[in-house]
Amino acid sequence: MKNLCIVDTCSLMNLSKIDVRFGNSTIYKWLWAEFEICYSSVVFEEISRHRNQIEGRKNFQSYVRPGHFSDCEKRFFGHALTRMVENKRCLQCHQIVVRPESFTPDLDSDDDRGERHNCCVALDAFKTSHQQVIFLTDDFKAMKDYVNQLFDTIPMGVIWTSLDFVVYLFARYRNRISLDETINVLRSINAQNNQDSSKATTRLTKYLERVAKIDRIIS
Amino acid sequence: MDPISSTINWNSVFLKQNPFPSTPPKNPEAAVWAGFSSLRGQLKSVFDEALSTDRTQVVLNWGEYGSGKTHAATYYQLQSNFVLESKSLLRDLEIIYIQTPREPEKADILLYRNILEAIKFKRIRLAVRNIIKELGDAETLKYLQEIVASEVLGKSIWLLGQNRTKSGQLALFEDNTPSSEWDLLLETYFYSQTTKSELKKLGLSRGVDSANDRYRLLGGILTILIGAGSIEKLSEHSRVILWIDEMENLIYFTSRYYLPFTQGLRELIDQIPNYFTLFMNITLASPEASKDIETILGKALMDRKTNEIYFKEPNEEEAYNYVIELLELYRTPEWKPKSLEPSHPFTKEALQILISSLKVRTPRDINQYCSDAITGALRDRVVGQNEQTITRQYIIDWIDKRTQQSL
Repeated sequence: MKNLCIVDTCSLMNLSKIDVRFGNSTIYKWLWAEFEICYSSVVFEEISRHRNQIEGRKNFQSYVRPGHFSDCEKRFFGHALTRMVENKRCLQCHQIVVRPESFTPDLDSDDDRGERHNCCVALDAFKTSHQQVIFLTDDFKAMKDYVNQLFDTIPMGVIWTSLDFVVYLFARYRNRISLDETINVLRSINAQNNQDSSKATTRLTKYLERVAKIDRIIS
Repeated sequence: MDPISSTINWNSVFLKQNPFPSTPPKNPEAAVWAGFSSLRGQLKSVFDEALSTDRTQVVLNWGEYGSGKTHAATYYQLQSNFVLESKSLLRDLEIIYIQTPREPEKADILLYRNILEAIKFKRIRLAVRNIIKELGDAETLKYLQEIVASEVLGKSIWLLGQNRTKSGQLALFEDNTPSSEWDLLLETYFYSQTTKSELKKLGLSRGVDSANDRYRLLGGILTILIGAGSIEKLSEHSRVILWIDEMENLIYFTSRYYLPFTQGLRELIDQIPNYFTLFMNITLASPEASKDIETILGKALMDRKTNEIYFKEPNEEEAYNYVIELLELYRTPEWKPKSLEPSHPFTKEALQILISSLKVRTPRDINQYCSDAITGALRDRVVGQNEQTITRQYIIDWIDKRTQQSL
């Protein structure tokens, strides 16, 4: 049985754009082959709106996990939440200082609704069919506001970005995927994140170090 | 100059204009250097080597946002500022400043075009003409074909030193030759796509087809500017100084565009083993900078690095000296006979308090703070008449007010 991976629209779009060869295929094809994919109907609506930016002729509707998740959304996110926001860097250690900030989600807004409903899909799968799930998203804001909070409360699986997915594949299929291909895919995915250059660079450095370490450990 | 500070009467505090711009000037003539003697010393040692040896240099300048990298690049675009630092034994200097292209999919085209445009087409043509005069037609053609490792690309550069006469014959290019169809043909060949009939008119079998072609042409043209004399004779060579700003933007290049771009730069460095200086400016705020620099540039470029300059934040004393020197550079003639404090319109203590209150002390932050403080004091009419000064208490209150506003 394959692991369940709950995918967000932005990750699908990001992975779909990567045209670099990866283990004799593309990273996007690896995603569909490696996991049992599902998402909420809200994410399907987003996919339909961005259909021209997502590769393949899949029947995307068939991957929707059935269910009405509005009540679940209200229970989890319909009250004041606390998120960690970044302050400036510490002058001594140069690390980014974070502080808690209270906010009340606007559930009527379309912003991050896909991620909120995907959180409910994850919980539903955890309760009914899967011991652990993989939550795949590249939306750092939604991750901070909703996904981290839910997964920090309920130990029902892991949150991955597309970069984590690449590292996973490299480690698991080391004999089929080269280090150079992995570096190229990591660089290409990271280039699409609209972060400031310093953050994007630090992030890529971290992932390049991880794959270099895997390369040393798993030959 | 920003619109608010332009309405302020800077003359009333014995300044010609706002000495504290928030962004580097676009025009090198308008750039000044104040303070930062240690940084200037590091740059000077690179210039010393550049102006007195044939060694190719690959210099990495890195620092935080606002730490003065672009300002340094702008200031040293002016040859007179460059040679002010060191005595030149070279024939000439060709200083080119460009920014890292913001459109990754056209990066190699833009880099190539921006460099050619920065040098100017006519200047390139004159340089080729001079080499032809020195070596002769056939020898120059052979030389160019060797350095670009291509018969057709070598010939295309050779054609830059030629003009076509009305009878269709080729003659040496002259500076005063009026612009003609021939000029346009050559520019089309080097800058864009050429049709078959245009290629036929030029006598070339193919156009500039790939990133590799562009980098080879670039290497050839820069080599021409450097000069064809024997390597060890400094006075027979110019140095090409290519300053590429905002290299941190390479992080937004997917592998498809990143690899050819960095590989092209690497080949350019290898193609010009003498009299070439490449400065690369990178903005980084992270403490793991050395790892991050390699993430941006890649190992191959890092391995070619010969010098590294860190644009470090100044300490309080260095920041104070920077402000004093900057104020001095913009003093009005009325200033001298007045015997006021060098820190005027601030008292010495007020300026020290202002600087020590800064959380981040890059030149950009210092400039912003000083500009805002003087502008505020002029608006409050605390200074501007009878040589009044910005006092310690005014600055303490101003900082308090500013802190409250930001909360």
